[in-house]
Amino acid sequence: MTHPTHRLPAYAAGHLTGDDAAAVTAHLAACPACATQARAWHRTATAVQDDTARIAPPPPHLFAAIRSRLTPSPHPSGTRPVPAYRGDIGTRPLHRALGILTRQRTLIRWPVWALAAALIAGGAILAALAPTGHAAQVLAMTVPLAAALAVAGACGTDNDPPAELAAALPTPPRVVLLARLTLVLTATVTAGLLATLALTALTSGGGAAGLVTAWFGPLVPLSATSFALSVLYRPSAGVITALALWLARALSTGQTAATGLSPALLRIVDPLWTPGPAVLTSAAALVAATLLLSPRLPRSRHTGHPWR
Amino acid sequence: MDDTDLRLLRLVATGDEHAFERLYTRHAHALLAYAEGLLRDRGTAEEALQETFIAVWRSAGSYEGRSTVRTWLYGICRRQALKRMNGGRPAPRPLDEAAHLPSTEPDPEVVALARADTAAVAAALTALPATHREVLTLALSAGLSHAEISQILDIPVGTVKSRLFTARAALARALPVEVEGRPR
Repeated sequence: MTHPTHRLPAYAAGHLTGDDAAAVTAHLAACPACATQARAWHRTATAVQDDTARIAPPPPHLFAAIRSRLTPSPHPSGTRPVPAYRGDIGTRPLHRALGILTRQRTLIRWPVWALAAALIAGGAILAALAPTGHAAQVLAMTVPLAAALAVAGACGTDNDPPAELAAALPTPPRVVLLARLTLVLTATVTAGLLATLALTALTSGGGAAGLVTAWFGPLVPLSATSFALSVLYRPSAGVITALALWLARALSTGQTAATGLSPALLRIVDPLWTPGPAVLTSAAALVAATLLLSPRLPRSRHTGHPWR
Repeated sequence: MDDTDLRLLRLVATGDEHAFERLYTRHAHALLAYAEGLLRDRGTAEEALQETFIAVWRSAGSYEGRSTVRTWLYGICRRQALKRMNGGRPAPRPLDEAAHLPSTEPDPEVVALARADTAAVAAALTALPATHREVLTLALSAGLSHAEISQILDIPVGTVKSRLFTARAALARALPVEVEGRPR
């Protein structure tokens, strides 16, 4: 005979119904051991239920307090809300833009800045030590990489608690994203410019304009690619792609080590380092498309289970 | 199974305050009793209940139906209560649990419990540690299944079963001694 040992608690508490309850009742009539167990469970259930019943129901003011704290409407699942700016548009626009920009600085985590600064500083030092004529190449390899990695770190939203907060503020997510992109690019480009100026002042060789063109060209498509992947997919994808493009370029210009890859394949990335109008236009279009799509992405991967 | 809760929660996800109030009316008392049992303090329990329903309103849209609505509610409520608990969460006692594997044959303690009077059992219940009271409340008062309790407490179903028996054994041990010798 199988004993319904584990169904006795529910049975004794009155939570079994229909056939389930009838089967246990029939068993208990024939099995004194289970009948004693059931009585013990019944005592326990009665005590627990009495104990629960003694607790007074929630007072009416409790629900009133909850209701007063409800936001107008919870977000429909699946999409990130696109808040509209309802303030007086046009009043102190510069002040507001500056406010949004400066606040992004505190929201971007410090390792992003540290990595970008280290890469640019390292690039400048290497360029100063490089043989004459190679400074441009060294800068072209470091500054764009710094920018692409910083963009991925600042604009990707994986595990980004401030993004949750930002999504709840009246500033549209697109503006926040654009502000972050602007801030990161302004910072890296300024750092790159300073590094270039320092380099030309110290080595007195080569025009500053030529050096700037050498690194600013590849910076545009590389940052745009990193931005699009980080925002639309995840930051790691932006980082990996930027590193892969960078490596392909390094191998293609180096040509010293046997890579096993065909030179033709490696040269595919070369147009990114000497971008023409087509590449620059594509980069701009990519950034625009990403900005357009970003608030409409499913947000499920950003929200955890509410009680896990 | 009754799908009223699910229907109400879907409406809450669209911002229906009336459905929200109905969901509250259906569960607030039981959840408050659960929270108060965990916290042993009325004010903190009311606070936990309030935060529970705020969280329900906010995250109704992200309910994925992986558990029943009731399980989901108890899970949120438990989390809110534990946040407010002094001295951390109720600790499970592995050795204790292993020592009381459920058996069919009633031991003397079970016999004593089966014969005990209501007042004695009620007194013994107040002496139980929070872990034991919690599992008894969920199973016997809230009427949740073993599977539902396992989701709320985040423990295997087997552990829920043994914890129930452990809790009952602890209850039997906490009975006043004279009850055992008393004639029925």
